[in-house]
Amino acid sequence: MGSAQTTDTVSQIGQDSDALEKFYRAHVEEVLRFIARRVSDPATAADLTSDVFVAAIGSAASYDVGRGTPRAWLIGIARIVVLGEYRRSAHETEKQRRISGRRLLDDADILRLEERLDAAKEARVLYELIDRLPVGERDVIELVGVDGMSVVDAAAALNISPTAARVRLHRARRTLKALRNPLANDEGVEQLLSTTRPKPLEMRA
Amino acid sequence: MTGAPGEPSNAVTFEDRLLVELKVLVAERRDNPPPIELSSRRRGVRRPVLLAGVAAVVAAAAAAVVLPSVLSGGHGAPSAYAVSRQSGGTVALTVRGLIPNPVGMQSALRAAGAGPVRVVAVGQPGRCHPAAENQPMPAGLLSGTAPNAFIIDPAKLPAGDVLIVVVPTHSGAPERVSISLSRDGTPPCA
Repeated sequence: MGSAQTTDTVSQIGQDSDALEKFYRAHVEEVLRFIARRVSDPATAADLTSDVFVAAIGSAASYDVGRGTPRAWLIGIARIVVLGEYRRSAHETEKQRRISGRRLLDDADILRLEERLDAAKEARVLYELIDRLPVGERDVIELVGVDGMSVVDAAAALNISPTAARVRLHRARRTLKALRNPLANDEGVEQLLSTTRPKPLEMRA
Repeated sequence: MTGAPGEPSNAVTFEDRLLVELKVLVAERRDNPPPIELSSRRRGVRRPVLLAGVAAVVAAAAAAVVLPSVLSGGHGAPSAYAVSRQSGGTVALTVRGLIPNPVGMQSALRAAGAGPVRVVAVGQPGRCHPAAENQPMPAGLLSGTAPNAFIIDPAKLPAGDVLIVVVPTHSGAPERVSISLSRDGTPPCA
């Protein structure tokens, strides 16, 4: 996704509608999938999706290709936006929101998003297990094991070195193995523990 | 999906409509570049988001300052416009003179709940479309209570459309405020 995009394209999305459209079309599906794995209602998913792209537009000029691919950069933003949603009250968030994503939803969109959110339910359940890990380890296994990112991209999204990401991933898997007995035969847990790069968890509908 | 600003639009899904709004945002940034450039010793993916967060706070603070100031006349001087939220979710707008800062008025309208609104100066350079290409105005979206005084009902705003408010910003410009509806945020040509 988006691998062909250049630094120029990304840095222009805050000023150039054509660059924005190219970037948006390349990434909107992944951003929606990322958010669907973390929230359970369509309106919030729509708001967060708009927040991610508004934040990306606002910070595009400072995009540094040396710090990761456009995808890793955007997912890093998405991750912080979602974390921010957990911390802020809905009222505060709505007042600060530049574009209200939920206002853009019609009935067909809501149905489509609900199907997507249902399909990602399994991934959300895994967070109950992941939440038992230390924060640093949790972040890495979330991006690699659930979102299917490479370790290098996950490191870029988290603003840490690839080596640090590998160490945290190793520790996270070791801890999960110790925790997994009650969840034996769970396919999602198997994927978290897999050392081969997994596909993102979800989308069986 | 959607075309470039100024072209007919056929946004049919949430993703399409969001793209339209994002293009409006980019057009605003192009027309009114963010005035504040912050520096930070921290670099990398976290910095842009922090900047975005700071910008959001600045925008919210600006809106919070603008709204009371216009309602009270701001610094003791007569205000050029007034924005207030009405019961039932409508927003009242009254323009009494030249608007030196359309972006501030835009922030005030949005903070009052007017929804996706773009305030532009009469004759502002940049992309525009013939007035004949304005979207039809739904009944109840806009009502005039006096010359240059309006009630906006954001609940009647069609999803994906942007309300364009054209205001006088300098002497010699037509003093009449015009409000139209655009599919992609492109203002009508003066």
